[in-house]
Amino acid sequence: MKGLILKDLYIMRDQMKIVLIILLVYFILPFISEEYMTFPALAVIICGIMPVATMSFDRQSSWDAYAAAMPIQKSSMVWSKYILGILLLAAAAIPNVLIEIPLSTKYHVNLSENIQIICIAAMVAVIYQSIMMFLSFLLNDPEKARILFFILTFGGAALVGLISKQPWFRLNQDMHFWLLIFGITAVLLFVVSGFASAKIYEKRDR
Amino acid sequence: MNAIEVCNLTKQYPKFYLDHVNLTLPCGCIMGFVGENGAGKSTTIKAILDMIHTDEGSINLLGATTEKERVQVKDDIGVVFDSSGYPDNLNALQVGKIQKCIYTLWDDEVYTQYLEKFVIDPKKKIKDYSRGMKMKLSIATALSHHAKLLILDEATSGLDPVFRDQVLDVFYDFIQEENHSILISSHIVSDLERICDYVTFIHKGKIIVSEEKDELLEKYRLVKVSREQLDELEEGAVIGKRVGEYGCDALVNIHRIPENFHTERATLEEIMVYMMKEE
Repeated sequence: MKGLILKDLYIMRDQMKIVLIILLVYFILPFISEEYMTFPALAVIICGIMPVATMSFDRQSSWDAYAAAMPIQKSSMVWSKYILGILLLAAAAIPNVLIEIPLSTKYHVNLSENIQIICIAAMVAVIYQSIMMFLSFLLNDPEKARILFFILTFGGAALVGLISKQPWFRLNQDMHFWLLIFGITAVLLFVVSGFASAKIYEKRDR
Repeated sequence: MNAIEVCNLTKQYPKFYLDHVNLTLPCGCIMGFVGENGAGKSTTIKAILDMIHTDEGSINLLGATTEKERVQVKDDIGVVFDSSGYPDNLNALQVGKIQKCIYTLWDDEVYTQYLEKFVIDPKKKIKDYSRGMKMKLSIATALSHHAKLLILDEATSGLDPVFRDQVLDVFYDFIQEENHSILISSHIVSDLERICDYVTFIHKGKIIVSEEKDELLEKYRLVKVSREQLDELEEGAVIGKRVGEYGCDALVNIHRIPENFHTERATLEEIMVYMMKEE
């Protein structure tokens, strides 16, 4: 599995340059504007969905057929994508959470609320990953999933930004409850998606 | 122990049927797997490597009889397909690092030696390689993890004649180890004639013949006779024929023709063509 994840990281090197530029913008923007919360959400979602893009590269090069001749379990071919998604998500979310500490002090905003926004973005990314990975394995066509990627990425980021501006979006008992439900749903969906994708992949000829 | 044992392998596609294929590759031998386009060579190889599900039959790969066991033994198998397999934006150096994580006996030193021998720039991206260079990279990776069995599907096609000769020498060196074996499928029958111990012909999903190369070359000969002389031969003597205006060229089984018949040695290619024409 280590080799599979390494391969995908190498593939994404060029794409990651674009993401790093976005992250750099995020690091500069807070010093210019107080209205910066959309960007960490966008960065987290993009990082979370990138594994689907690697499947297009795999398809172009017939990687699956080549990997079939290697000592790699079929389930590893699937789970490596899901694990990669989580790793990228963590790589985007954790620095964003850390930078919130000085920024919330600078702009006198509620730290926990901003961290919640990042968590929501991460959960949205997990849900997107779960649905699109499953569809990619089911349809065996990551290009169709890519169209969904663009629609849902910008839609999802706009949605998170919109939610964060709503007057009802303040910390209270109910929000914590709904956040917990949302988080559990995201995790369950992720696990179910992974197992279902592995089942589909197991049955497929390569 | 045989390196590969395939028994009654069957796979049905909408327009193609792999029909009860039987194939045995003894340890320490090279088997040439020959057939026309669409004959079933790649399908058979894919079945051996569990890349496709089969309808019937059993496969024994280096002693592994179940799919789970065969995943483990793939650590001892080097495979070369007719396409590279690695995403185009990687380079040979990155491929080596990935392979190191996958194969337990990956050898960086051997890999580097093959990259130098095959003149592959380790930092050049695969998308900038020619077809021949991609094949060279595949061969280098297949030979760099101390494999016991090489499975090569059209591995020498796309290579220039000089390099093809070099690669065949590499395969010949590989087979000097007692427990090393090679299954090589190719259209370039002359290459197989040079290095193979066994030859298997497949045609329209069926194995026509699977024998030792030297026996094959000894058993089947070419004759140039008249139609009348051809008709006089016993049934089963003529394997394939080409009837012309002034006479016939035929491939015959030397054990079934009169001793006074003048015969000529046939090449593997000629044997294959005559056998498949008749089928």
